[in-house]
Amino acid sequence: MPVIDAHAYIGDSLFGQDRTVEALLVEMDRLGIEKAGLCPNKPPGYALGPANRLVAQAVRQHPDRFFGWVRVDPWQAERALDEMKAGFEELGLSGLLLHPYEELFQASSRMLDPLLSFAGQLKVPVMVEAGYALLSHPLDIAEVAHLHPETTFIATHGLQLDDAGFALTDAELAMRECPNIVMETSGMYAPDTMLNVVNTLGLERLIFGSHSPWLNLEFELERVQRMKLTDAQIAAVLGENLLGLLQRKLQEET
Amino acid sequence: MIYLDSHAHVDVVPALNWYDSAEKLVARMDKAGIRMAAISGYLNAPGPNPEGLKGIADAVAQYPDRLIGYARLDPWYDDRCVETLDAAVRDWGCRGVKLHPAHYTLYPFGQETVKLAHRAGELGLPMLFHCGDEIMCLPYQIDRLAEKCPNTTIILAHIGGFFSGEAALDVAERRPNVLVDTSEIPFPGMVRKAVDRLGAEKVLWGTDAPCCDIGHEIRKVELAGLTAGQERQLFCENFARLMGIPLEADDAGH
Repeated sequence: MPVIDAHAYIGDSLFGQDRTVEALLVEMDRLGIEKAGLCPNKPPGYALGPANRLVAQAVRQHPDRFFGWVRVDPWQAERALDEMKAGFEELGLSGLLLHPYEELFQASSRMLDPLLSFAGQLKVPVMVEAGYALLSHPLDIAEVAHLHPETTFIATHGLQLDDAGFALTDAELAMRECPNIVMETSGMYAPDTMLNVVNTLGLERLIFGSHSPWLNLEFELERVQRMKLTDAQIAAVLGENLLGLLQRKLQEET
Repeated sequence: MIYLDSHAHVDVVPALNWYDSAEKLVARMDKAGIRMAAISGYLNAPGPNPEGLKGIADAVAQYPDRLIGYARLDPWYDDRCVETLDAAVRDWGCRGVKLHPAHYTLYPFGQETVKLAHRAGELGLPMLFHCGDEIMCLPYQIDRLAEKCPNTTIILAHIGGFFSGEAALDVAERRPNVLVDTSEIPFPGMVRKAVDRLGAEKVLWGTDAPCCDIGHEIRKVELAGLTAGQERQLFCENFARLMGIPLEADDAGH
């Protein structure tokens, strides 16, 4: 099975996280990563439209190596919905990316409803940058997951970025309550919590992502490879599970 | 390489969903080749568990060559807290203090914590602070304590957490009595930045085990691009110096 990083940013970054497609490919080749889900960086000009098109261009140029996420700012309301639809229908992107921290909205906000409903109808996954204090706590993710049971949510960072460890319990609670949440592994420092997800909720509920270049791709890949799972289980987390989520657009291509 | 872990835990607290026995930690230390670890509990003393410090002492008694006890304390108890520290050293053999101010909700620079820090300094004990992205645990808050207590060694855990790393380095750079530890955060690059800004002698290696994977915490330092000498300082020499642990010349890889 291929190793697929669900969560790799490219493009010029307002936040100093610039990365070119070429640089990412070099790193993927070095580490044996066959494919990556490209996330558009928020560019210095703030405009997500061109960033989405940069991702789409990379996917067109390297369809065997990339798929893409369309990123929108929910504060743009109708324009966000239009951009998302264009991302799926015209740009060939495979899922919706929401970044509550960089676009400054709460992950449980009802203003997301049109976006999430549409993604649910299309059966494309929604990846939410999770764990940002007051914006995307695990139970914010659970709230929208309850409201949109037809939509699949990929919650990054093991749903939390709480170095005190208290939110780990909230993350497990959200995962238990909401079968439509999948946990992504980037920055997730508690392997026992991830093992609990696999062993009690299902292997398909955990996927590999790096959130590089903010996080270190090699370190994040090793995070999964080091888990106390069978080789077959690790292969599922590293790629197979994501393929299942992206089946409409990606399985046909692979 | 000899590995001395400056930040680990032993405690069983069902209410917080944490079940980390001494046996569990030492088994993981054995697997990862860790010689010794400093441990603290998850509850503060005096506090809801009067047996808490005894639990640390029991763990150290069970593994006297492997574990070093830190007293996790609650400065809200003021003089009684200072008395508890004295008893922890006298009766239970504790050799450091662990504080998590968000857990008891006090300003780190408040008079109660200053009093405790002065006493720790008199006893020659380091104070390990949970330091991250929570109010009461922020680097610039702990900075005010470090200024008031220059004779007390203060350790900022997690190099400030997911978002407060630069602030933690600011504080450790300007306060001779402030160190940082590398535990839990997913940033090999921040380890490198800490060494570059502070000097390797002010950076302790820690794991926050058993929550975090010990081997992965080692890899974080290995991926930081340090010299072999700097790695030795982080993995063993700095903590050995702090705790007075003798290292044979061969132990440190010389």
